[in-house]
Amino acid sequence: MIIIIFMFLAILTSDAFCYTEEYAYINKNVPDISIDSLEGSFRLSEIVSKKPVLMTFIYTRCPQACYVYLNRLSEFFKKREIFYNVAVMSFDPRDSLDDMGKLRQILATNWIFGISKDIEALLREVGFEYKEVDGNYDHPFLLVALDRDLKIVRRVKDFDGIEIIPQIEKDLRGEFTPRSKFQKGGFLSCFRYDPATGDLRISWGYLLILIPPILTSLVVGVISVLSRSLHG
Amino acid sequence: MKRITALWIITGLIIFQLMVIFGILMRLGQAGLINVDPLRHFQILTLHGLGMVGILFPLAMAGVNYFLTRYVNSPLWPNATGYLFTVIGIVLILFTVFIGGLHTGWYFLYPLPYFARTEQWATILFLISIAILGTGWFIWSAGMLGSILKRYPLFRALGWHHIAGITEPNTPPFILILTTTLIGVITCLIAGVALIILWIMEIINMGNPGWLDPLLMKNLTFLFGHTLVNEMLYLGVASVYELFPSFADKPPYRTKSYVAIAWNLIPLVVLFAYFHHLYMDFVQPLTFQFIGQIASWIAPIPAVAVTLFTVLNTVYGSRVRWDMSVSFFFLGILFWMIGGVGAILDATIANNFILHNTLWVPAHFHTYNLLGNVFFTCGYISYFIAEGGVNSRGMSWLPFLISIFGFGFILMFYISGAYSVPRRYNFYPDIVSTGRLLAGWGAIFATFVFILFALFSVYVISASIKILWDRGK
Repeated sequence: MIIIIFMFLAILTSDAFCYTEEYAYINKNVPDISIDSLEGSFRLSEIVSKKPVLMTFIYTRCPQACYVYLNRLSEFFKKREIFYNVAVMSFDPRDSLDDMGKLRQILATNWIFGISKDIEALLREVGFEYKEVDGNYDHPFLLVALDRDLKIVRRVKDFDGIEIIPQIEKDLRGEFTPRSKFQKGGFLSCFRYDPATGDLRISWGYLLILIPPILTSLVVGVISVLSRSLHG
Repeated sequence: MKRITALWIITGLIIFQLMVIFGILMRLGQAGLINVDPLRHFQILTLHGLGMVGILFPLAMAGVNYFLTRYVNSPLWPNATGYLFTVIGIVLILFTVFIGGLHTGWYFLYPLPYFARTEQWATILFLISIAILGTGWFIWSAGMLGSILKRYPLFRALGWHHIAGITEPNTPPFILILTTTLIGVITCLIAGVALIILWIMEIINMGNPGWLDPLLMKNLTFLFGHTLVNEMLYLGVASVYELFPSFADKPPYRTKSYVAIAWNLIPLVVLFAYFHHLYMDFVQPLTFQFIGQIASWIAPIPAVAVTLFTVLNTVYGSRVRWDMSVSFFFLGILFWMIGGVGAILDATIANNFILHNTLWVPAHFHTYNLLGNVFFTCGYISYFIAEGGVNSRGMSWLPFLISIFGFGFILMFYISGAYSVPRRYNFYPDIVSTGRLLAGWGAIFATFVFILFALFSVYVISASIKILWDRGK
């Protein structure tokens, strides 16, 4: 009964029982919006039909952060041979193709730079939320990997390092990508792996598995004592 | 106790038949003979697995609780609580699956429900359903264990004095098996509690998904699920030990030292056998995999071998009255052994590498569940209604006929497994088209099994209704 009460409390205390994080977006189809790019106008499906796409969203009037972010990406990609297209989309309705052209010049890349009148529909589907603050935008750095069927195969919100890119590439290839939220160590992980020595040490999580038999011994002991004392 | 047992039988057989229909629908869909929407297929798969265990476990409990009153004063309230919680739990599961669209399989492996195309509330309602079932069964198990321990001190209930070579006072094998089984049941229900608490923590901690270790969750899930299904079988075996000698006009079994050793080993060995569910999890250390394999090999020796030896010894040279009850028990033991061999083959790491994701797995667990556990249950039910004055001697052919069609049904699974036809597919593409043909034959055999069980159910339910309303007895 305690468990059931706890579960109801869990429902009541949660804002919404829904994972709005990456998991909820995987395998989701995005709308086939029309895109105006520096190379011409295309449907998104035409772009992904040639190569998968790694897409990100910025606005050109961004005072600094978007440029730092895009610079980090472009520096990384310059040293890398890639099998997919990188698309930079503006979510700011004020941005024009000219603005995007200037951005490309600054970054000196061959990425796709585009704007779209349907951008809001795409942003909704990939879970990109932003708000306007004094003419600027407060927004996350979102990377979305799309396969050739316009499906999301990976979504990284709050990009914090280029280390994630090789993983995204594996996802785009459809390869197995072991990844754990416990990379920095979690309290309930079963084992701790030391990559330097290759040692695998048992951790707290596995001890949890011992709890049922230990508790059973206690429960049986208590039942035995109670039954005998009630009987006696 | 008699009336609530009759109520269990009526409820249990109705739900069981319903679950068989779902099973047939799945096989028909896999055969391509009917069109089952993929999502619907996996909803039915989830319901079939949960519903079967959800009703067969308490139905077996109802049987042993009925026979327990021969030895101790077993109060009615834990049984009634178990009934109430089971009915509520199963209704909620039906609601979760058909309205909420849950389709994650009974094992609801973390973090699968968060990827599923399920109504958001369905996962939490599902966990509530499991919690309700588990709570009811825990109260019932603890109640029964308490009533045993009131009369038998723990060491006697576990037959430790027999292991030490002391023959008197005798611990009836039924008490010994039931005690060790109830201890196992309590262990796996506690594992279920731990699992549900972790899910709650995960739900509360929604801002940080993936917070839990999937390896831990999988270990706990199978410690709970695998152990529960194992213990369910042992409940049926307890009934076999209790009733079988009477069919051959022999005195009740006495606990020998080897029987006591065997059944004391069970709770321990079963705790490690579940590791065989994690052979495919590369992060599980190799040592644990070997422990799983060895435990899986050892597990059948005490239970199956000792029981088989005991039963064959009883039958050999005796004038057994082959009524419906004894036929169900005898065939149940044989199929339990056959299913056990299939399970050992699968639990061997080298074989599991090939068989794990094939229909070999449903083959072996349908052998010892449908033709083993269900037969044990039908055995005690037949005995129960015979005690109520309904003679089943004229229907002793029924278990044999069910066995023939039942074996045909599971044989299609075994052959499919040998052909590497994958399990958990709603439809087989051309590359494994053998699966379609065999699924079609499986559905035909299963339909005959359903008809024969329906005949049994009508016969038994009508007798049970009489017992239920017979206030005089």
